[in-house]
Amino acid sequence: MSREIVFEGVSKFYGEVLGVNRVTIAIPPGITSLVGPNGSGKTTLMNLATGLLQPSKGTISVLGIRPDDPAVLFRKVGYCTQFDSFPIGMTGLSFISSFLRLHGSSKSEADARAEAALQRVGMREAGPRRIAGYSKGMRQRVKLAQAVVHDPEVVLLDEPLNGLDPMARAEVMELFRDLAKNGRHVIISSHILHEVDQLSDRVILVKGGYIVAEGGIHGVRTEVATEPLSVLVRCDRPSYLAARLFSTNHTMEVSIHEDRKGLVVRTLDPEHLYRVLNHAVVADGLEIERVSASDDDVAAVYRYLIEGEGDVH
Amino acid sequence: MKETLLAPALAVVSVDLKRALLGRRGTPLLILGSLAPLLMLLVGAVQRTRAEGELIAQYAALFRYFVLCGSLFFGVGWAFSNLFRGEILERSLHYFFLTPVRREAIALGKYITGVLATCLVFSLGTVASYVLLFGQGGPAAVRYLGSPAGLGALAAYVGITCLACVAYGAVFLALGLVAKSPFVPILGVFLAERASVVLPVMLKRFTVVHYFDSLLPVPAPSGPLALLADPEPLFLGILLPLLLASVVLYLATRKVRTMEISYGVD
Repeated sequence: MSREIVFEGVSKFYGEVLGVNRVTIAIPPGITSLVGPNGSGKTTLMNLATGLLQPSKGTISVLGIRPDDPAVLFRKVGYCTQFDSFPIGMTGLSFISSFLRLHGSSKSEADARAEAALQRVGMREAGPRRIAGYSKGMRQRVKLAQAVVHDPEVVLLDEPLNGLDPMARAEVMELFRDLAKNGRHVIISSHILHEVDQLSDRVILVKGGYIVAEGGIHGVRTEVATEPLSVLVRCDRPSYLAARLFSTNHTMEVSIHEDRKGLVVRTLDPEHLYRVLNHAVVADGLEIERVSASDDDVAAVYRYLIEGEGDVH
Repeated sequence: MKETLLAPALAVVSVDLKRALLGRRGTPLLILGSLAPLLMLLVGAVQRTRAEGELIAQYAALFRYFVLCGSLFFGVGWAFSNLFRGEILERSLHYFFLTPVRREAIALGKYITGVLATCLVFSLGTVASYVLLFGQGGPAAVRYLGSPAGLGALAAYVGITCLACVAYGAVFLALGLVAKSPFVPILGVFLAERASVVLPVMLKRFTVVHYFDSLLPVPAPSGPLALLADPEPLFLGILLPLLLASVVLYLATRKVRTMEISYGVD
């Protein structure tokens, strides 16, 4: 059985409006983030993978299962949609328990599992209360609980951090990491790039219905060949290091920190930069405290690829 | 086929039935279901008719024109057209579609939900209105109520009530799936059904109520403009509405199978 989520030449048109076009990707297990502006096609991709939409062209399989076979698919897939709506009149507990019964659980089993799922998202106390009285963050967490209550192998989460306060976000992100253990798929779409960056094993950048880039975040960043990489170096002699770097052709810009204990280097050839740093340490006794790529993250890749500050090569 | 569809369909019923009856969507159904008993209560209180024969004819007219082509018709129309459309308006249909249940079973489950809810409400209404009318009559009317003839007629009315829920229900479920606003086509069906009595025999056969007329234990008065037709044989009167329900339900499940959900969000 395939362990991947596969889109092969998938296009979706809403009448004459493009949803996504010619998408061909294979998503392995782990945490994958779909990143892109509103209307770029992230939700369309998730809805296609779960059969809520049907492709105009192409084929999709989730762990080898076609989305038009819900009886098999949703034993293995949970989807927390972006829709902030619930069946009227239900409590958090009855909502999760009721739909779990469609998985074949008995009432007592469904209630027990629903309570455990609510506990997992920190909502056990609020479970017996009506959803209509919940805050947005609570509704978001109930939806999360409902998506994972049957212990799926693939969890799709559309803007799952919306409406959550910082504490709840941290808890939920920990839940995502926990879900991704043991070879599960966790697919997240989010605008909160900083948190996606912390979470993701892979990123898929979507723009205007097209996949702009995909892969490991650092790999995608490397593909942005024309954009210089910003690297932060904390060291004892930043002026000396700046002079050394300016003697090469690859350094575009250097700015020294106000505290005179570090500098940010923008370079077209990070490998060369690291060689210079090694030489400075070994030959000249430079003391380096820390080296980090300051824009080697999803936000930078998003800026270059989605907001059009760079070209993909 | 039955094994793979029926069990999950019944699971859908277990989720949906309480909401269909007691939720916000159930309120109009309960109101429409209680109209006939309330009317009978009123009629019993004001009228002086106590004769058994007159009450029998009175109930036949009430059932045919007030229930079948009135409260039941619109109650069933409301309940079934909202089975999917109501979920779409609430933006909650996707929760059903994201469960390990075939779409056909979801459609069947929702249909069974509608049948159970409407049969329960309108059968109780039929029994209550029948008992109220004859119970408020004279001693002969009360005796008729408990007699085999009276109970047989009541059973026939309840049977027609259930058959109407089954047949109209399938049609209105389908209309709720294909029409943006199903109330216009429901009104169209209502006018066609209402006009059945004045239609020529050939055209009458295209209305559902014509087959129910054949099943009535007492013919209902049809007015001076009516074109009379011989009643259909009993088996046709039962079989053709069931056949209609089966065909329309099959088409509805096909529609649900390819149904997309986006609620206009990306």
